[in-house]
Amino acid sequence: MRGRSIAIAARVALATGCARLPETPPVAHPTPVRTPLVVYERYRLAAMDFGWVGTEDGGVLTQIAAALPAALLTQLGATGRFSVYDGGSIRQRALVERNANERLDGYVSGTITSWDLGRTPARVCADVRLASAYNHEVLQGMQACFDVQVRERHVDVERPRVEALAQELARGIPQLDNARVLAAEGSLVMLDRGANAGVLRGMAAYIRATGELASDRELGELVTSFTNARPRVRQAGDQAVSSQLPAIVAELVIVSVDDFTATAERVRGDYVLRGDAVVFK
Amino acid sequence: MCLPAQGEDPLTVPTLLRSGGDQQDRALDRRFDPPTGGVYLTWTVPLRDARDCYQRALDLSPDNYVALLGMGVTLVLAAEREQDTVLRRAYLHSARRHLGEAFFARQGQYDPLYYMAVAAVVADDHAQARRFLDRLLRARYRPGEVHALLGYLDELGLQRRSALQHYGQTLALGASTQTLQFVARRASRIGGRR
Repeated sequence: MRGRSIAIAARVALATGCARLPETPPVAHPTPVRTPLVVYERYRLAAMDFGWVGTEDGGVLTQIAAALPAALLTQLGATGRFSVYDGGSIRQRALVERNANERLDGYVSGTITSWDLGRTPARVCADVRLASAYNHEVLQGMQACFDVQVRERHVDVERPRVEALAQELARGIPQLDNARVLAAEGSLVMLDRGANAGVLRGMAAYIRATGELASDRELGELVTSFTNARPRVRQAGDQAVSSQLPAIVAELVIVSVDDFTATAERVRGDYVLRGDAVVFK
Repeated sequence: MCLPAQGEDPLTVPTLLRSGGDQQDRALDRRFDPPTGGVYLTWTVPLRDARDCYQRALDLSPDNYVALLGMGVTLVLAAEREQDTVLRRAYLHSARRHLGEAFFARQGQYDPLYYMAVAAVVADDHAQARRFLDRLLRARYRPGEVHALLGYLDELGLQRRSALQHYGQTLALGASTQTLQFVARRASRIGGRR
């Protein structure tokens, strides 16, 4: 009888939380935090020199091969679409195709394919290419011819034609709405937008860490009632919005595209989570 | 350990967080170590060092997510060991505040939520713990560990059948080795009683 009473008392103690089991479940270690990255939010592009070194024409073609990308760089910067960088021989080869992925998302290179220096103005044609800095895949290629005024120590490239070329290159990397991460496995990331939304292979993007963030008022209230902590908000018009933007935690490059989805490779950052926001550059 | 030695440069926030994290890992791994030399301490050496490192990091960077979360977890672990009910309540109160601020720092919400659930379990507030665990399950966050905690709560509430189901889920979904060992022990004990 007494033993039974003790058993009942133990049960009541357990049921009311006044007692514990001999052991409690292990407490998991915190998840490593994703390191915030400093990311250039615009597409970073450099123009490399057009690769001509010869003296049989008195060095004129070599001058043109350096002047063309310099003029193109100026016009690419003027489109407002890109962060532009000097590349190739413009700055003693500090930035060349081989190390482009350290600083750039893409680069423009070219090859002078034909020329007529005997006429005035001289005429030069080149194949111009826009390539991904990450895997050097050519994303866009086009041929363009320019009139060039060549005088002693002076090369003047036909600017309107260069400007048109820059505009065409800018259209090759359209600005898109944000996408979301559907799944992430190792360095591969699947996005919820594809060719139908304008996603192209070689595009560069970055990740804002929204994958863990629930914009859930009910959950926020539950946490506030338990902890007395409150969300940090600022007023934007009539709406209270969070004062902190989710951090940028990874950079991606698109490696394959289907109609409705795309696959990207993570090229910087710790890891990517389902639900993270993908911002195209 | 988080005070710079004489003549050295002051420690930076990343260094403090790294040291705090190392000490907290040790504290988590040795949570159930028996007292040494017959003396039972609430603030074991790793727990005390973790607290000091996180406190210094918070002095330098009060909004730092890692420091807020780390301090919250450290205080939950201290509350779990504390025998004095007044101190225990004070540690839990402070832990909840730090975890809440970590939650609203918007760097990762499910980790703070998980430790709030643990804090609620330590405070014997089972209903609150279940609310947090339910949200974590819906988010598919650490499902193995979450089912282990739900099984534990069911066991405390004498719901053995339901506890067994949760432990089974943990074994099926996977979790840390420590959690799997815990679940296997509990499941065989309940299974043996039926």
